[in-house]
Amino acid sequence: MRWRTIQWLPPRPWLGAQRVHVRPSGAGLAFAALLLALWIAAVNYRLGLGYALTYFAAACAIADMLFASRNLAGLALAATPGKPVFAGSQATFTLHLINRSARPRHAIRVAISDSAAAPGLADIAAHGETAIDIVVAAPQRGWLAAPGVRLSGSFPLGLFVAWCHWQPDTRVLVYPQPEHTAPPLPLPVGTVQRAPQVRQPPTQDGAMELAGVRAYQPGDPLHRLAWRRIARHDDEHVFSKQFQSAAEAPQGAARGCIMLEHAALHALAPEARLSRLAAWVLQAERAGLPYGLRLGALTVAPALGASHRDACLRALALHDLPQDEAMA
Amino acid sequence: MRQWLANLPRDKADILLLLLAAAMVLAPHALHLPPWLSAAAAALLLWRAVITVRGKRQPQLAVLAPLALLGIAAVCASYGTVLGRDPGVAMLALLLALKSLEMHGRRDIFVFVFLSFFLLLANFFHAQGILSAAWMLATVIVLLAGLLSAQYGTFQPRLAQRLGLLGRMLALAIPLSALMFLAVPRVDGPLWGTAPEGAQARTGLSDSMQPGAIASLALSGDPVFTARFSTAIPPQDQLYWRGVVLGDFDGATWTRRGANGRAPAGDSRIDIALEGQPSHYEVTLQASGQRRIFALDVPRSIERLAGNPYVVSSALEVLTIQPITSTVRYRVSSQSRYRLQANLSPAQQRPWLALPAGSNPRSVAWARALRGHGAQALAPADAIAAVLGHFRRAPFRYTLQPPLLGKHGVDEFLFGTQAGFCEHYAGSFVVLMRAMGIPARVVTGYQGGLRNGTDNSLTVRQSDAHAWSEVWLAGRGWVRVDPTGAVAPLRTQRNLDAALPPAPSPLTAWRALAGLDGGAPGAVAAWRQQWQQAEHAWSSWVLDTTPQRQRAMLDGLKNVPATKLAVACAVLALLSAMAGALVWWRQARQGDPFDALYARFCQQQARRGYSRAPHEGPHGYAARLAAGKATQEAHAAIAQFLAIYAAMKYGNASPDEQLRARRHLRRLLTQCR
Repeated sequence: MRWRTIQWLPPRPWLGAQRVHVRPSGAGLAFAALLLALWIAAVNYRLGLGYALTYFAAACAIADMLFASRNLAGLALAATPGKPVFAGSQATFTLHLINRSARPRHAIRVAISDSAAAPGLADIAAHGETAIDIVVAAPQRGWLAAPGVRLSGSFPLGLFVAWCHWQPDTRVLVYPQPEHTAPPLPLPVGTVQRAPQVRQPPTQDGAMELAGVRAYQPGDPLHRLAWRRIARHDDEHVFSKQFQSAAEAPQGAARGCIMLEHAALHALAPEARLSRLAAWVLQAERAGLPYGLRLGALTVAPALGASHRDACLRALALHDLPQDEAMA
Repeated sequence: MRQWLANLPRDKADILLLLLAAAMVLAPHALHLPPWLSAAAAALLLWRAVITVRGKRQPQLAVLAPLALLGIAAVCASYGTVLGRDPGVAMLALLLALKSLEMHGRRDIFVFVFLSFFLLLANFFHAQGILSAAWMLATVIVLLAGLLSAQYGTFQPRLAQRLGLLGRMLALAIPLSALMFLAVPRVDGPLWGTAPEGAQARTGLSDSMQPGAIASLALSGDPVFTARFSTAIPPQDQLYWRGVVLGDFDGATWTRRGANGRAPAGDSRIDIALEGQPSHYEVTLQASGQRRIFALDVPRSIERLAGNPYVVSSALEVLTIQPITSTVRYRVSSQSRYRLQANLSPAQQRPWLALPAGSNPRSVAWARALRGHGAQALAPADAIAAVLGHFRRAPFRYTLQPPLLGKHGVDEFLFGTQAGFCEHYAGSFVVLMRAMGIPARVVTGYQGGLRNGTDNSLTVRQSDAHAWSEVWLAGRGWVRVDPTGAVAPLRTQRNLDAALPPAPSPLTAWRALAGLDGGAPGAVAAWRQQWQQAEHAWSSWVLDTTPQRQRAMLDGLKNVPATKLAVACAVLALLSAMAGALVWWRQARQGDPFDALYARFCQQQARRGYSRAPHEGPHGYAARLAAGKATQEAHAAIAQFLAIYAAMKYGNASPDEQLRARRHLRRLLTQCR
């Protein structure tokens, strides 16, 4: 008991015994029929030991029921999302089954509820932890919540199935599907259009002009965070203002900065626009062309790099989604 | 071998475990199945074992189906039918062996195990002793271990750990099954049909007697019944357990009167006068499949059997209505001094005087000459004494292996071979009596029994089977005469082995070793007696569980005084509270053992004045402790402890390494002070 007070130990497991359900398996029903046959034989032939065998087998089945439910009960569960994926591919969630008891758990099937996909089989050692990946199709851009998961197991004797459902509290971001045969990148626009003039912050960057907003990168000073953008967009993702000295701006354009304009693609359907932009983001990243993104009210200043790409794709993924879905 | 077993792939090891279970299930059946079937089953299981070890393919259905058909045909040929209990068991045994060659998935394993359970029960048709129960328990454990092993996922621990888990399950299941065994109401079977063929085909006394019938029984050590006396046990030579009375003789075989359809008419009234002190005892009779219960000569009262009334024939045979297919128990009181049917009319005497015409002429002539005619005729009592005297004087031998006799068996025995067993003596004595005009009959049953020292009881075995005779004397009624006693007095005073001449054969040597000849005291005999008492207790508590008995036991609970009941409840409550506390304590202890050790370490250091700050990890703590004041050894121990702890907690060590590390940490903990 003493070490329960140590703070860094995780809280008590929450897969309580009352959440675990038990029912006989097919083999369990056959076993019930066997018990009936044994009992009838014992009655008909008046076999004292026949009764003993019948009751012993029945008691073993009862013990099996208890042990099957104990195999699941008391398990702690946690889920972590996998990397963001593109729509049309498969999203991965990692489920962690954590065993804080001294008895190992065996042969636990982890399957997605209401799905016929082959379940994963997990064994968890005493005081151990097992991670199991579940893969879900991600058809749409936006947030993909983890599916409900069904844990079940017929260990130890296979006569009973214990199961419980679990809704992991996690989600994966799904980027728009990049257009397959996207046209080549729009060639560098002459100049990087000025972002709408924002009042110059009274800082040492006074000589510089606000060039736009990009995803926060480690090392960005705190006072450059684009708080309004952050507040408008969502609370989790941080943007920082990017400044450019007025003199450098044309240089950047000369280096071949491109600005990907959502508004410029008005001929396409809304989703197709996002698809094309996603494809372009990937193309530009591959080509090493600094690129920016203008998406409705959001402007991401041109840059390069994985985090920039992710910020752009993220903006595309969450574009125009209902507020609660985007925030959820 | 052990190495080889340890390296066996998991699926192979699982199959071998199941095959072992099947072999254990089938082994007791080998005593009762036809030898070819046992051999075939063993061969099939062995075949599967070889396939498994070599990693070959299982035979195709095209091979198995003809084998199965062949097996069915062979069972049919052996038993003459495929219906009924014994052929059914034979078929199931064959099926189990064949199924072992057709196991592919988990589903097949279930079928295999369930079939094994049924065959396990079928064992009890033949034996329900303590050893059968122990064997059943062992077999079930192996079976469940096989089933359990098949249920593991990708990871399967060692056999010892699997058995450990099974042990925890059994620790729950065994008390539960004991409770169910005692408390679940029994049904008075059979559920359908009238006479289950259960317990049939056992050895035992039959309704007829031909030379050699009882001698074959004498070789069997199977217990027939146990009698527990509440009064003193009568002397050994008074212990005549009456069974069947044989009155009809066809020249070779004695049969019960009326057994061939002729109902004994007009003598249904039993005229009996009893004298002297009765002896009271309780008989626990093993299932015999026959309709006969035994009592000492002559029974005064016999307790009614539940659901199976009995009738007493005029010859004082006790016959139940239904065959006895389970162990039964009844109380009897008997009296050794009696006067049975002292007044028989000549018509009533006639059936007991009949001899087949023309058979055994020499004996008949000899008997008539001995008795004499007219005024010189011997009185019946003198005639009996004369015949017994002849048995005693002439060189008669008592033997279990008498020579074969021909058509006139009694003649050949009396004047030729002069060697025989009790049925020879009793049978020929009755023939001689009838030839002299004295009503006489053969009685078969058991004589004697082995005393169990401490609990005033006797165990009677098949080897105690005996035949004697009764003659009718006017005014005295039926009187027991045991001609065997004239030849081998030890047979009735002690028992069979004492009466037989010592012969150096393996059988007698074994019997001497096992203490069967009741006179030999010694450790073996004492053990044997203990064992018999255990068997007796076993049969009374485990096997003899009729609904009536169960109800009586539960009623007995009702009559327990309130104070005793309260004490029992208090003890039960205390025990369950202790069990609950144990469970709670174990659950409370279920933390990570490394955290537990670390917590103890931190406490220890806090006592020394270096308590761990909440934010401190093991490394930071180690650095601070290293700067603290302690002996050289303690410093080394502390540093080592924290290094190992950090490695175990944050690294990924194998379970074996963790176990070793835990031991090491515990040792270090004492050095850190």
